[in-house]
Amino acid sequence: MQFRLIDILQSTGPIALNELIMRTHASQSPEDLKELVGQLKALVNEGIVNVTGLQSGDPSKMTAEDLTNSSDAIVQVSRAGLRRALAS
Amino acid sequence: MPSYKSLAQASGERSQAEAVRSSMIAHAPYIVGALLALLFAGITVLYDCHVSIQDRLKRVPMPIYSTPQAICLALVCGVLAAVAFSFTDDKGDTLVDSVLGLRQSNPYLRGLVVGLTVLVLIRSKLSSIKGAEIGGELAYNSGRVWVMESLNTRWQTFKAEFNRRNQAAALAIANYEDELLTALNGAIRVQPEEFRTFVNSQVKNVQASRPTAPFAVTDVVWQTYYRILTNLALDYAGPSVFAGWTSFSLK
Repeated sequence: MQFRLIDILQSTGPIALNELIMRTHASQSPEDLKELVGQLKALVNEGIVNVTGLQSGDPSKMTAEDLTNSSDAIVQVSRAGLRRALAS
Repeated sequence: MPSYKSLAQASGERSQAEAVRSSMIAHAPYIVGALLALLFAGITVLYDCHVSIQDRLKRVPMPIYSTPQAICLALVCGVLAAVAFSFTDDKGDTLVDSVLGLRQSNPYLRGLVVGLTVLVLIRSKLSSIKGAEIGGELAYNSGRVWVMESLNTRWQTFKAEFNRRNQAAALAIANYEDELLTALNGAIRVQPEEFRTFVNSQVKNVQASRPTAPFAVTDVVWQTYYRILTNLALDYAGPSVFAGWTSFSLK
């Protein structure tokens, strides 16, 4: 069964990016990382998720390299995301 | 010998005190009713926050009653309930009575019912139009989001502190991974299958990243691996999963 990234983010609270990768993807292959980047960018663009501490600075321009290089990055559900979770 | 003036003053003070006392007695049911409304509204709001957080965040929530933000929200709603109670009467003719469907002459019962149903009042059609959040609904949901945010921040701090206190103890246990996952599986055994699958899928993903290098206490990769396993257990089974682990400090 495939769980949505947002479910994991809601259940963990703020989480280090490298920990999120380990929890969501078993292989961490370049394809997996690319997929995770796509999912995170979509959530960031919707305003549901905040990513802070990225090496490149701008979450909307996140790359797979950012995921592996930004050891201090933190991902968390934004205020708008929490509001949406309450409404669902 | 007391003068006429001082006697008159004493008599005046006595009658004033009696007037206040009889006024208090006459208003006591309303004061108690308002306090009951405040108390039960507070309890209802805390319970609602607890349930919504448990549902939405899918994890073991921290005790909601020890969160200042939740208590603050409960108090605000409690005061609203007390104010709403003051707009009720024993005939059930007021707007508040009609919204809550009240027709209660007993002020104590009326206070209790207003307290228990304050969320109906705050989130009633008076404060939302066609499902759009306005007024009370918007304010209440913002309050719950505020509580969730504060819980998330506290949870993050708690996990970091827990790992800082116990990482050395975890690394010293020979079969830490097996013992922890056995305890985690035991703790979530009573949860719905979907939740167990949700947790197990994350455990499997993390285990797939198990360090290949020989175990070493000083190895940062192994320390990170143990920390992530510990966080997983904390997220889905709470600190009680470590109950009985004598080398661990839970608080």
